[in-house]
Amino acid sequence: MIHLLNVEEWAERYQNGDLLPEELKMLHATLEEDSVLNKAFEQALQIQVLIKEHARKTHLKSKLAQAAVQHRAQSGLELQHEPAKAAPKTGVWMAVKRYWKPISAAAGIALCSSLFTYTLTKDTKSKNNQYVLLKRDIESIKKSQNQIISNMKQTESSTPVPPVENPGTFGGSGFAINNDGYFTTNYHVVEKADSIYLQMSNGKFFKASVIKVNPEADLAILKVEDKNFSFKQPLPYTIDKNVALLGQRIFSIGYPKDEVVYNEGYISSEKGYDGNTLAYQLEITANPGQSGAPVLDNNGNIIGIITGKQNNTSGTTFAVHAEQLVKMIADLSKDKKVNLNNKNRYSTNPRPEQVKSLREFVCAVRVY
Amino acid sequence: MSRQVIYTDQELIAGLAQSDSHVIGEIYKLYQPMLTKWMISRGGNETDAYDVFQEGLVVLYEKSNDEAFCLTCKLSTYLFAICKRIWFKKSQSQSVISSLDMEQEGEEDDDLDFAAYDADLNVHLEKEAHLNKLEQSLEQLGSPCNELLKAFYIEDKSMLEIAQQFSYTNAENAKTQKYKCLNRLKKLFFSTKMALNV
Repeated sequence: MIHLLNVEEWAERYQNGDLLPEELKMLHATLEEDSVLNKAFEQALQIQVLIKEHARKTHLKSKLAQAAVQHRAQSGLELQHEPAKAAPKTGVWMAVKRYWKPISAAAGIALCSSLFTYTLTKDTKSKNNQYVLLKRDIESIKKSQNQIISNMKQTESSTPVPPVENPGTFGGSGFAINNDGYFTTNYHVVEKADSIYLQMSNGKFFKASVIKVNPEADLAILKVEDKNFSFKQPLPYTIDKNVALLGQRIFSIGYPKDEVVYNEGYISSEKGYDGNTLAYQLEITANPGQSGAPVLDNNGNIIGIITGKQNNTSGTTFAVHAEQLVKMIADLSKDKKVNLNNKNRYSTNPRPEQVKSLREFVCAVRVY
Repeated sequence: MSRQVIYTDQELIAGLAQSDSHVIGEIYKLYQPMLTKWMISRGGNETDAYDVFQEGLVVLYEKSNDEAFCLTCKLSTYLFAICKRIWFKKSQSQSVISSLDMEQEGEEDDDLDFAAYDADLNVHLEKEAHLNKLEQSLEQLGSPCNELLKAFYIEDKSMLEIAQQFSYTNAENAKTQKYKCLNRLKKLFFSTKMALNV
């Protein structure tokens, strides 16, 4: 007789097809009468279906992992990391000889899946139209980079490149706001940073520290710690605190990869994400790593700083008004006074010339 | 030279359904390098490629156990398309690759029925979410239930072996214990909220 304390046993026998016809009849009759028992039985069945599937998957994954290791070894590639991240079991389980027979299990699975379909659809819906920060998660490309660097070291071990060893856990872009070591980038890039390095266009690294942040505008001002740091040339651009007009052509350079990348587009809305009045909406290609990159108008004046983009479109990007940056600079304490450049030195130059002088002042921000 | 066996798509699928090591090795040989190349061109790395490929094979495995499953295209096409979808899903959640890439990709493979692949993938992700939850519940069970259930279901030990391993007086006792563990697992599983990390 089935009761609440032995549903597990009954569920197992039911699944294995071990029940006698009269037992089966009795089971159906009892379950129909007792809804509590019915639910307990159904759940017991589901758990057993799941745990068997879990066993099969574990077994499969360990086989797949083995095959991956072998394949990798045969391809003559160095094996540094265990490729079987998805196989959570470390030990190789004994072969599962007995395969689960799909008797009546289909019902269990169907019930299981229908329960969760709703949550899943809802979840994806809410993901539409999301704002995506453009800091770059370097973790995923770190391994391959490390390998390249270690290869490089083997060939030219005499040249020391100490800070490059770890390219940082996050990356963004930044640019100089004056001549002697003040830079700006996004707040979300340097948020929770242990240490920050700026990599200049010539490849040199400089340690920097945060001296002021404005989370609302998503801006941070950084200062290079090396006191002797300064640019040889004066800044070619000014920071324009006037709000640029709709339709203004713009361009930007930043570091979505280790090389500087140029993009151009236009201002497509005077308001940013979700009606944010501190930001513009731009139509320009932006990729992770471009957070903190300057947005410049045709004359090469900085009118904004890229912060993020909308994730379901290709080019809708958001940039905070440069005015916010100017305000932050004005609010700096006296010992950190930054005199802004007020002369644009390259407004009449053709674009490649502009970019050439600009790129020296744009840096990659590495955050550890 | 070792003897070369050439499998048909059907044989490969059947072998995968049986978790045949030989066939799995062959599938890696045939299709994995292609994916690695593609992934690297998309800003992924080799380890990512192996992860994605493994997951793609799991999807195929699930499908291969489905009697209604009938491949309407080449195995390589199916596998590659599924792997692409997996990678997009992954990179979307990590925001590594912009949606721009996805759209371009969509145009490239216009003729492929993406909705169908997505449906397969979603079924898989749902299943994985369930299994993840089950695994969490198993962890929460603690000793000796966790070990006992694993010994029975995963290591495929007999009740007698389990009775000896866990020092129960006999197989019948061990069995009672197993049912108790299943009961606790059931309660844990259905009381914890589903954490969907899709």
